[in-house]
Amino acid sequence: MKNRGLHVGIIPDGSRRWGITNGKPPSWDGRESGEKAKEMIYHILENHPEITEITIWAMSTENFKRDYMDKKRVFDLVENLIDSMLEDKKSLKDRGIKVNFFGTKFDEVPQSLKDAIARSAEMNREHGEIRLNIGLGYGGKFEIVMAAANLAKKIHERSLFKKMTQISERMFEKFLMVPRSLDLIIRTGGERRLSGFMLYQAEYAELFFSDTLWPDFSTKEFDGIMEEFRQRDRRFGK
Amino acid sequence: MLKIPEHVGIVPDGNRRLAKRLLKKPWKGHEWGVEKIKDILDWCKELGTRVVTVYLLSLENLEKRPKKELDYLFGLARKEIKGILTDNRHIVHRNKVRVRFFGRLDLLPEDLQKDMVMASEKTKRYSDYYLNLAIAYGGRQEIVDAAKRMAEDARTDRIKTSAINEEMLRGYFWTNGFPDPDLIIRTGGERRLSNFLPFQSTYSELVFLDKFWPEFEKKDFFGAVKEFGERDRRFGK
Repeated sequence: MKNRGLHVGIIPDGSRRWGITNGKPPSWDGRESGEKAKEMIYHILENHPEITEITIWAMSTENFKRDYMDKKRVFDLVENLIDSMLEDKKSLKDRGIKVNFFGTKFDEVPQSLKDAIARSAEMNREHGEIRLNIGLGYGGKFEIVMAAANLAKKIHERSLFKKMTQISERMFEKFLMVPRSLDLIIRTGGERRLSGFMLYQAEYAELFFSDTLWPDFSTKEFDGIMEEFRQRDRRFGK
Repeated sequence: MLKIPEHVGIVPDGNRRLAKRLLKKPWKGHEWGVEKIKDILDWCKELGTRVVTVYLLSLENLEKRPKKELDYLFGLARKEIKGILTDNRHIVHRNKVRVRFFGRLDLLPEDLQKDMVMASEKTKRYSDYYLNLAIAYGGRQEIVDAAKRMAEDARTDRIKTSAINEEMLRGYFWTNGFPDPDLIIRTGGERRLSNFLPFQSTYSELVFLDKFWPEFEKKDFFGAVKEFGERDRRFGK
């Protein structure tokens, strides 16, 4: 069986608190958070061939209810991240990357970010070895409800299936935004909960919680987590 | 003032490993595990936590564990249910605990299914405390099963697809009507959810303990609750 590599999920929490404790003004553009994301992505690309998919939760559906400055910060840092990675396109060529933005609030995102997202396709290599999924306006419960609703619509329209028994987990997964299961989830920022991140995909994911605030998260800590992951006994119910 | 969770979820892992360590057959640990669940009911009463949901057996367990172990587990369940049906001093009666089972119960031995129905019936009138037991359970399967039945209702026009929302989907869950857990405690050292209430645990605080389930003590339980009380629950905001 072909080894598909690992799918790592990242909940990069703690930026707001970092901003406050580091004396950043409300107008802070979140630069350090974006740079940290880029650093992690490149670190994984260069030093962790066992990882073939990364999913980063940039913004949840609930985050969209935050005030304007908080939202703008995330929009800006994602846009900067995309542009920064496009500038370094050449250094990605060894492994090849395929970027995918997912979520439900794309219409509420500023035009400049929409444009950046469209531009990000330029870095996609046809046979990109690594997939990078960035969640904007994503929520696990929302994803599930939407998948179930879309499934129901297709059945109602008679465009899919005659027998209910034909609906399997595999079929349902086709309606998800990120169909692949996660092998591990890293949450920075100290909280010990999943907040609905990839709840379906996190079935047997190993969970790692770090108290480090996202902009302070180091590649050394990441490597330590990967080492711990290797030591864990994954039984999948057995 | 200590914040008390209304609903605690438990992944009681480590029965087999503890038994092995004590040179017993692995599933002997499950016997100790059952007794520990009864202790939890008393601790909850002391604390004021009204609902406990325990992950007894996953669908993966049902598929992969040796037949001997499963038969032993079913035997334990039958014995405990017999106690509920015949002994008025059983803890569920003393503490007035309503017992409910959820999961793919249809995959279990028929006589056990009947026993479970009787135990649920016998405790139906209690509303002080609730003990929900996940047996042959899988979160993904719960979600897909709900989506299937909801799609069937859409096909027959019993529901409008435009009206589909979280509340409607939850109505099809095996756990329909159950509150979401505020706190989930997993013993046994593993740091994963293993398909336990994935939808419902969205905002649950997670506490992981290395101790094996039968070693779990009141001070560990209260310690987990204290930790829960100290956490800042933002619900995504």
